[in-house]
Parts: sequence; C-alpha cells; structure tokens
Amino acid sequence: MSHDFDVIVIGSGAGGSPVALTLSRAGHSVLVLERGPWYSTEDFYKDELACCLRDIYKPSRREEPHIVETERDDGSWRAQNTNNSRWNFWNGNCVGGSSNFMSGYFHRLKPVDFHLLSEFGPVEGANIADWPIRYEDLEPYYSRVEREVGVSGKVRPHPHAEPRSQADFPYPPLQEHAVAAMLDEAGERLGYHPIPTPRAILSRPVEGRNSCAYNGGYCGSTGCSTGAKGSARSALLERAVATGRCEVRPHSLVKRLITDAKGKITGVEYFNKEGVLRQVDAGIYVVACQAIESAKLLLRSTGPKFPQGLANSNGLVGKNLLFAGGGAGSGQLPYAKFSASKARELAQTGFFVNRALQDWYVIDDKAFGPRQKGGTIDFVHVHPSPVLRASRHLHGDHGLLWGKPLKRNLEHLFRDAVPLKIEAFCDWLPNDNSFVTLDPSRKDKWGMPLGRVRTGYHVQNLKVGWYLAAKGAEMLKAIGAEEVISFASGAPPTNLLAGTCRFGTDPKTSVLDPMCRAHEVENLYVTDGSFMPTGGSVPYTWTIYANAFRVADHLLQRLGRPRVSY
Amino acid sequence: MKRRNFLCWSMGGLLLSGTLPAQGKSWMPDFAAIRLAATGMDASQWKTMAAVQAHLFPSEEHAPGAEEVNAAPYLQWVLSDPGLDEATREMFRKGVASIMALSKEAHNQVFPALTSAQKEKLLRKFESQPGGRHWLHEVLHYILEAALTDPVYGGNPDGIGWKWLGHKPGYKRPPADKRYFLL
Repeated sequence: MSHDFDVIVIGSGAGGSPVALTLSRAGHSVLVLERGPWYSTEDFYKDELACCLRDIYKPSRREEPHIVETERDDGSWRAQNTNNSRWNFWNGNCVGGSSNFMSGYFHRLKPVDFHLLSEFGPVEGANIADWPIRYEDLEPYYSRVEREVGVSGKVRPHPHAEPRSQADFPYPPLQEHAVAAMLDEAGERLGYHPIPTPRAILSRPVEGRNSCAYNGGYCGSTGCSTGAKGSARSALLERAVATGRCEVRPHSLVKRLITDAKGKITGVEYFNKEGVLRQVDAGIYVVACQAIESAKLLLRSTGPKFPQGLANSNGLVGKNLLFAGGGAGSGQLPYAKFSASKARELAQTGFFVNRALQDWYVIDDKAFGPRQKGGTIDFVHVHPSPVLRASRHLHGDHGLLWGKPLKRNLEHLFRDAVPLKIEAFCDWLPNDNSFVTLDPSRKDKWGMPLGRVRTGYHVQNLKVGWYLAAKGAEMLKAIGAEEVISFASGAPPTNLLAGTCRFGTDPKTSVLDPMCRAHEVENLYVTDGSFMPTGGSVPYTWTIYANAFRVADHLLQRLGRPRVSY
Repeated sequence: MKRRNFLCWSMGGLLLSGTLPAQGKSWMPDFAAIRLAATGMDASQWKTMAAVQAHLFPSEEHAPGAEEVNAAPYLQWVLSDPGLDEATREMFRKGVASIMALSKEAHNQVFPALTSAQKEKLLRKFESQPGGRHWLHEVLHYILEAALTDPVYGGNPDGIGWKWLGHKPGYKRPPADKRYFLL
C-alpha cells in the first residue's frame, strides 16, 4: 500500500528529531509536522522581551489556554484558566521545540531509576512502577546522544556514578567560572563529591555549529546564537533535512490522528498556516509533542475503536503526569569578601559554574528515614535577564518598593555580589492527582477542547526537596555565600514534563509497550517524555533524546530496507 | 495581517513612507509616530503618568530615572500595541484617572504640581485601595522594562540602564529587523 511518507513525526523537538534523523539517514521518507514556525540560529538573540517577557515562542494563552487545577488547603481542587494567570504550560512551539530553550544540564538516569519499585518498595499514594527496560538497554543511546547532539563534560568518579561504555565525554568541559573551583574545594572539605555538570553545549565547533559564545546563565529560555546548544533543530533536524528525505512542515498543527474500524491509523489531519485542514498519511506515526500535548492529541483522536481517545481503552492516556520535584535555593557571594583580583575574576559573567552533587542520589541517612531515592543538586548562575531579576525585588516589607530605596536595592543586587542558585531535582512521584484530561466544554481558537492539567504532588517530593536543597545551601555557605536560603516547593515546573503515556509490558497498566509502541495501535509510537513511568531525579531531555534514538533503531528494524532506493 | 499590524504599529510613518531602517544599525522605534488615541489615554493623562513614573523612579545625578530611560514613551509604545488586550489599556487608564481624582480631591491640584511628599502620601494611599497595588506594580514593571531591555526597543537609550547596574548584555543582541514582533 502506498503512503505519502514512510513515517510521519508529529512534533520536531527532542522526542521527534532523533527518529527523523535516524530514519531519513537510512533512506526512509519522513514528514515532520511542527505547529510552530521555523526559526534558524540566526533568528535567536539574547532578547529578554522575546524570550521571557512577551513569550513569543509560545502560543497565546488568550487563544489557547489550559485549565490548571491546583489543590486548595482543604483538599478540593481549584480550576483556573491560564489566560491572565502566572501559569503557562506551553514550551518552545517552533521547529526544534523546547530543546531550543533548554539550559542543557545533561545528567543520565542511573540504574536504580529503572526499578524504583523493586528497589525501595511502594510509596503510599504514589503509582511507582519499574521500567520495562534496564539502564543497560539505554546506555548505548546515552552515548550516542553525547556524539550526535554533542555533550561536553568531564567524568569524575563519585559514589553514585552510573556505568559508562565510553571513558569520557566526546567534548571537553566548557570554560568554568571561578566559583566551580571554590565548590570543588568546599566539597573536599565537607566530604562531598562535586562533579562537572555535563552540558549539551559544544566546547568546540563541529559540522556547521559553532562553539559556545559564553553567555553564562543566559542559555535557559533563550535560543542559542551560535548553534552550540544541542537543540533538536541545530543538532539533528537540520541534518535530517540535508538528507533530502526529511520534510519539515512548520505552522502545521495536528488536529487528530484518524483510525479505521480495526484501530489502525490511516492518516493525520492538520491545520496548515492558513488554518485550512489538510490530510497526509504514512505507514508509521510517531507522536512527540511533549507530555501534555501528546496526551491531548491522543485523547481528541477518537475513532470507531477508540471512543475514549486513541490507545486509551484502559483510561491511562494522560494519567501519571510527571513534572520534576525538588527544591531550590540561592545565595550571594559578596565581592567585598575577596581581594580585588579575585573579585574581578568572580565578576566575570560569561563562563559556567557547571557543578553538581549526586552524593544523595540515593539517601542512606538514618536521621532522614529508611534508605530511599534522593536526587541531584545543580549549582548555577542566576539567570541574568535584568528585568526579571529586578522585578523580583519590587516588594518591600511594607508594600511596594519604589523611589530611591528601590534604586539602591537594585544597585546592591546587581553590583555587589555574584548571585548563585541551587536547583535540586528529585522524582515527581506519579500519583492519581497529576494528570491531563480534555475540558468537556471549553474550546481553543481552533475549535479543539482545552487541556485540563491537574498538578497534585506527593508530599515525598517536598521532603526530599528540602533535604537536597539544604545540602546545596551548606555548600554555598562553605564558599562564603551570604543571604543563603533553601526551600522545597510542590509547585510544578511547567517546563519539565514527562509521563501521561507510560510504557510497560502489561497492556492493562500501561499505554505503550517497551518499544514505545501503543499496545493497542500497531502503527503508533510515542517518543517524547510521555513514556516514562517514573522520571528520575534529573532534567529529562537527555533521556528523551536517548530513548527516541532507541525507538528509531527499532523502527529501522521494523521498516527494513527503504522501499525506494536513493 | 498580524505582522503587518505590528509593522505599522512600531515603525510608524517610516514604513508607510517606504523608508526602512538600515539593517543591523542602531535604530529606535519612532515614538513620535505613536498616536496617543491608540494608548487609551490623552495628553493630560500621560502628563500624570509621566509624573507618577518620575516619582517611582526619580532621576539622580549618578543614576538614571524614568525620564532618562524613556519610561513614558516606552509605555505608550507598549499600550499602543494592536495585539494588546483592551482590559490592560483600560486598567492603566483607570489607575491614572483615580490618581488624578485623588489629587484634585486632596489638594485641588493636578498630580504633577504636588510636592514630592504629597505625591508619596497620595501614591501610598492609592496603593492601599482596591487594585492600586497591582496598578503601581505594573507601572513599576514597565519602568524596569524601559530601563533594562535592549535599546533597540527604545528604552534604555545607549544602554544607560545597563551601564548604571553594570549589566553586560548577552551575545547576540537583537538588531532592529529582528525585534520580537518581526520574527
């Protein structure tokens, strides 16, 4: 049977691009549908209005809001439209997806993350499940990402280091800020093991991508102006397009996947740039729109065999949504405490702090409780966007701060110290109150149902978050930081998304099989972070990339030789 | 259509006369081309707004104030954005109207004519009224935008706000033809 393409990939980010590159490179024809525009590296600037104050890389929340449900103190749920609220569940809607705007702190999962249930037993109120694959199954693909996407770093042994097939990273570490050596020294004194944080940022140029321009903490939220950041676009998709067998259609928002009576997908219906519905078909369909949007797409793709949504007979699509749990903290390193030459070194804003602690990836501390899963602590610069930094200081003790007191406060904030931040990641425990559904009545500007996102967190997130953040704060104090605070929060970080289509061996308790193919739909795969039954205690992007390469290899096997020789 | 609107909005007469800014060169939005009607406020309301901004962010010998960072024309540019929702324009207009009314009621004078102490007292009173704090917060936020966003948007002339705080902008800075509404 002839199709328009061998494979259609919906979503052009970290989940979709490894599939597009692997298959097109092997001679298969691939269509990538991306709802957003196609920006090139030349279109990205360090422009605070673009990235952070006007949200131009996201759809308008007026036209396409979500309904967010947060828990009240009495345990009831408050539903809020994200239009005119601080909530925004959109991330990076353009070619390359949110990987354009990541900071690129790249940590692998560790062997223990693949079997939390077996290792630590159940946690009441949490839907913890072992993964159907092991770390060893994913390790070759983590290594492949190091080469294909470009990960820079330096392996340093520590008590929870994961096994590696390669001795070290293919790219040497990026230039380090003076604080890195101070953290190393403090770690030695305290008996901890700070490690250089691997980054998806090139430390030397390769194949049309330049090396890092060293903007320090600017990477997060802004697109990279040199191509050094390993976005799916610059690292993978542009190479896929260069094969001549991968077509990327920007401004193409998929309305639904169409299925026949047997439950096989027969085509995709999408809105083009003019808002006109178009159809296209392929042998295989790969969904990778990020966890919330992938769930929404499956739920609205009803068909004769799937009245509850595609691949959703067991009702699990959208369930067990994962954010990232954890804590945070900050401190100021005052220049006045150091010699003039050291202060000048510290005032350098371009290089990276790039230090992390994983000493408590598993917490074995009797004072804290039984041996349990912990997490990762990253030490980073405060994001330098000046309006965002300044506007956090408008609230004084007695109302708003303005006039000369505000100006003196800003001078102190910007001129007198290096602002440092702790980001502590622990597992966001999957639970019955963290999920995505479709709103029964409200529609977006396309006439499609709004997504409802319930954001319930497990109290364990807070406990572990506090524990880790306090350890980070101890390190900041040890290097001489002042005004050090640390805390944990149950608020979901809306840029760290996984779950909603968990994979597993049992079709009753999972949506996808171990190869991320829908149990119920033989030509549907989901390759963004949706597959993860538990998220690990690190940012998700590296794992999403690695798993998508793993699925891509499976698809190569399944597709066999290309139907047309190129 | 949206893009065309944006172009007209920000480039004012320049676009209509067919004169495009030289690519990559330092170029400011044409504040003079902003029609006050599009901001939802008239000239006397803008005089009040500028006086409020100057009080919230005063000019000093060693530190720029609202006037030096172009806070009022910057806010006019923000409020004349055709993509902005009407409720935001209305919120700003209502706040100015309230301050004008409070000033007349308490002092029988226009706000800009009050002493610094009178302005402070009046704005603190306004802060305690419903919506007052939110309004002042928004005005302060846009002063900070004018002071600290890239000069290509018309505030922060010659990086005066960045220089004041010792902020180093990242690489690359946006040229005029790649401002966010043109992408």
